[in-house]
Amino acid sequence: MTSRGRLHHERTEDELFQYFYERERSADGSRRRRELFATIVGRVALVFAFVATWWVASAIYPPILVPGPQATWQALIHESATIGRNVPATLVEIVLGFVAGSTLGIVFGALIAQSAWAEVVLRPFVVVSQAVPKIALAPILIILLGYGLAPKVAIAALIAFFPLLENTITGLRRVDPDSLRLLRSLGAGRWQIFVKLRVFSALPLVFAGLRIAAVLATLGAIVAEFVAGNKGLGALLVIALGTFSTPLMYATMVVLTALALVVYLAAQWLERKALGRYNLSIE
Amino acid sequence: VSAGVNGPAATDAITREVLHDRETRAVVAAANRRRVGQVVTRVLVLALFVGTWQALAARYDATLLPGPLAVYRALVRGSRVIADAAFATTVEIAIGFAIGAAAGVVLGAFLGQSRLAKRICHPFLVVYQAVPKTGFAPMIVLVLGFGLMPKVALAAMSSIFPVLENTIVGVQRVDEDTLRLFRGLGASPLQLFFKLRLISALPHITTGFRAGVILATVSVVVAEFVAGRIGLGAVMMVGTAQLDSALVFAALFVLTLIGLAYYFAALLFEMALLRWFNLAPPAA
Repeated sequence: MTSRGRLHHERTEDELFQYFYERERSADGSRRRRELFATIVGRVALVFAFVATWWVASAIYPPILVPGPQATWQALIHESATIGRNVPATLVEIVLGFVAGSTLGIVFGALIAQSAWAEVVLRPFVVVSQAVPKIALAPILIILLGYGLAPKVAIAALIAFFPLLENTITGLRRVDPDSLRLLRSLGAGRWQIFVKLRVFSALPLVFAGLRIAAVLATLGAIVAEFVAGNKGLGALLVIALGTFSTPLMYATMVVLTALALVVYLAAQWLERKALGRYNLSIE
Repeated sequence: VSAGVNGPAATDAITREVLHDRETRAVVAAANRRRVGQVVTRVLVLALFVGTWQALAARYDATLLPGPLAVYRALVRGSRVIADAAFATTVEIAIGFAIGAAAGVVLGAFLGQSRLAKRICHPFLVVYQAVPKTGFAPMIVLVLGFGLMPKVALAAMSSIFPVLENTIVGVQRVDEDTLRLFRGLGASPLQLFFKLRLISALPHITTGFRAGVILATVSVVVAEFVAGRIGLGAVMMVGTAQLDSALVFAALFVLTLIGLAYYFAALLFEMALLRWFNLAPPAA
């Protein structure tokens, strides 16, 4: 805008720019600080409101129906051995069920996705299988497989299976048509297209399915223990319900929440790690 | 001159028309043949499933695995018990889902509007998503008893999340140009919300409804497992305890029908709503 001769003018422009830049940056920074502060305050307030509601509820209801936060904390400490003894059983059921169900879901999904015809023919069955309450199979699987580890793993696997089946089929079939045409025109074979294009375009959906499956496997293991369990956190919850050991039930629920959160965050971490590695994202 | 030009042009038009007609007919016939093939294959897959079931049932004890015929007989034998239970389950799902869906839309619309509120709630939403809500069944049963209420509460708790999540996404994903147009025409924040954001969020919200109604069904059944007095879950628990597998299968069959009916009702509602507002379903 200016000629070379007027250096001082440029300098003032520079300085002006610097001035506004600094001012905007500090305003930006202070706004961010204010927002962070509000976020933290809001989160603390929410936790506080939750504990307060719980406390009020425990004051209204008799302690045998709703024990307060303090009673729960005490039960958590006193009964830590009982609860701790039941964690491994549930964790093993979740992990085995999750691994078996999701592996089978991916394998069958990949097989079905090999043929467009098979996909079209089987699509209504896949859709309907999503809407069927599979958890209701729990009593039947228990009659079939007994009261041990097997039925719990089977139920967790069964409900972890379907999200991966559907997401794998959808992910493998829905590839970018331009990329497909490019690979074909470069003379890529079926196998090359599968390995180099389809697998990668399916990854985000498969990992989203894995995250859902992790939550569902937890749900399946717990419900199976509700129906027929002598071991595990779900069984402990039902036993506590039967014997009115309510503080133990609340303490168990706290541990169960933590366990479910760890399983979920592990699946999410794996998803981010894998998608980040191949530079993929969902949508 | 005109006749000379018209002659060949007319025959050309006719041949093209005839060719086009023939081609169309061939394409339609091929599509019909393919569709018939698909339907036949689907029926065959279904027959294969029922056949395998019957064959397996013939090999095992009826207590372990009752065949389709035994299940049908149990369905007839226990029709009154199952009908009562099915009615209770249907009502529980409907009330629970209605509460959960309404709460999900209202809360999701609020969180989608305010960036700060969404940021504050984010960690809690993650925890809520990760926790199997059905695990709370024993706690809820203690407070709400063994009747209708605990099932409704659990169904509402489970169905709220998918609706909430989808509403947040839907409310935030608004066409920038339309937003600018609304602002330029001086739309009030209220108008902006009800006439633009909520409408354009509808495809997402109905997707959430579909996921939510499935979860409501599942959690009602689990609550009936835990507090078995009414509903198909209770019938199944009684059947399991009495080793009456045929009754368990019969109840499961009816439950599956109820689940499918709710799912397809949600799907039809979605299609009707989107057609009414002339909206496209959300991508992916």
